[in-house]
Amino acid sequence: MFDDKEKSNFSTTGNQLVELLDRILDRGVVVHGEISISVANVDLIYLGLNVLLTSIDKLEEIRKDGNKLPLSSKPLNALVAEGKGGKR
Amino acid sequence: MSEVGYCLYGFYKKGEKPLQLFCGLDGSCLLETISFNDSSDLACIVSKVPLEEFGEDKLQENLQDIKWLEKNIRAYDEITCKLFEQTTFIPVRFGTIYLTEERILKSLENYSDQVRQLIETLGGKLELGVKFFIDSKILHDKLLTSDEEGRELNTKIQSETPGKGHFLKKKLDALLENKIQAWVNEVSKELFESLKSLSNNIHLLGCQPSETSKKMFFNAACLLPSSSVDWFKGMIKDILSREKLSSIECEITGPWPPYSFVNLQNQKLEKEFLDV
Repeated sequence: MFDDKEKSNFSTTGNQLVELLDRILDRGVVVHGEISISVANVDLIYLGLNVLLTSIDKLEEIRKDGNKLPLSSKPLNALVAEGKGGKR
Repeated sequence: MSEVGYCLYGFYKKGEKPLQLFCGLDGSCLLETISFNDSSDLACIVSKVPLEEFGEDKLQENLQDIKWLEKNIRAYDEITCKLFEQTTFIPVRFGTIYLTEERILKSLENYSDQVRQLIETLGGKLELGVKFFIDSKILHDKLLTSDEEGRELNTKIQSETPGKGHFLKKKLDALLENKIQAWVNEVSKELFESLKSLSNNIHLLGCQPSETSKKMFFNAACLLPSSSVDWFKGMIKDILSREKLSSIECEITGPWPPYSFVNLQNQKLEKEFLDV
């Protein structure tokens, strides 16, 4: 539907994790189950995830700038595996 | 499986054709339907889940584990989407767990009116996420040449001493930042009104932060008839082709089941935005 030039300022993306969290944790009918996620916990997850995503943005930015980054000693997937930013 | 609970996924209206059911969150227990009561045409979808993973304390702990969270959130979305493909499915928030079937039935009594109304409103519709971004650095540089006040101040800086020039530069940055913010406010309202007129309903969502100069300044969920997705994207493309909006980048996500339209919690954000 869109040519390459148009895509430069118009993109359709797949369902990224942050989008999923936005919808699945924060929306949907709130039914009072016997066990439910509290709103405070949702906020905490968001904060952690934003820290994580910001870290990834930052790393990408530094990498694009051509600076040496010790990615081999701390790869992105390791940050995820360690849950860095995933905790608040 | 040791102790089990029931994970509630959402609600639907029973039709002539039974739903095709598949495995739930734990990957082995099949989804089950539970009618609101014997005479009701409404039902909910649940599946058994192990309490050693979804019990109260463990669930809160697992939510902090980004790997567990991603795996389960993606699985939950997949289940919801597969159900939504078959019927108007009203999803509930992730992590709603019951310990017994009796408790589910008791709880459902409170929701039948709301569910019936939602099914009526949302039938045949889906959600698209629409985000707009600007690059504040590019806008800043653009204003340096296109804005008269900014241009004059910038010229003045060149002829001043470094000390005075430094303070004038700060003044210039503040001036341009204010102009960018005013422009963003004006454009956001225009975009909101345009999207509102193109969709059945719209909810504003919070903008995701960024540490780069590319900033999200608008994030909304739009409700559309499922047949209108391409038309809607084309209309957004037309809107952004206006000269004034040419520096805006757009990202569309979805289609999604209408997660953002099953409750009223976003109305406050919308009101705050429109009152600015």
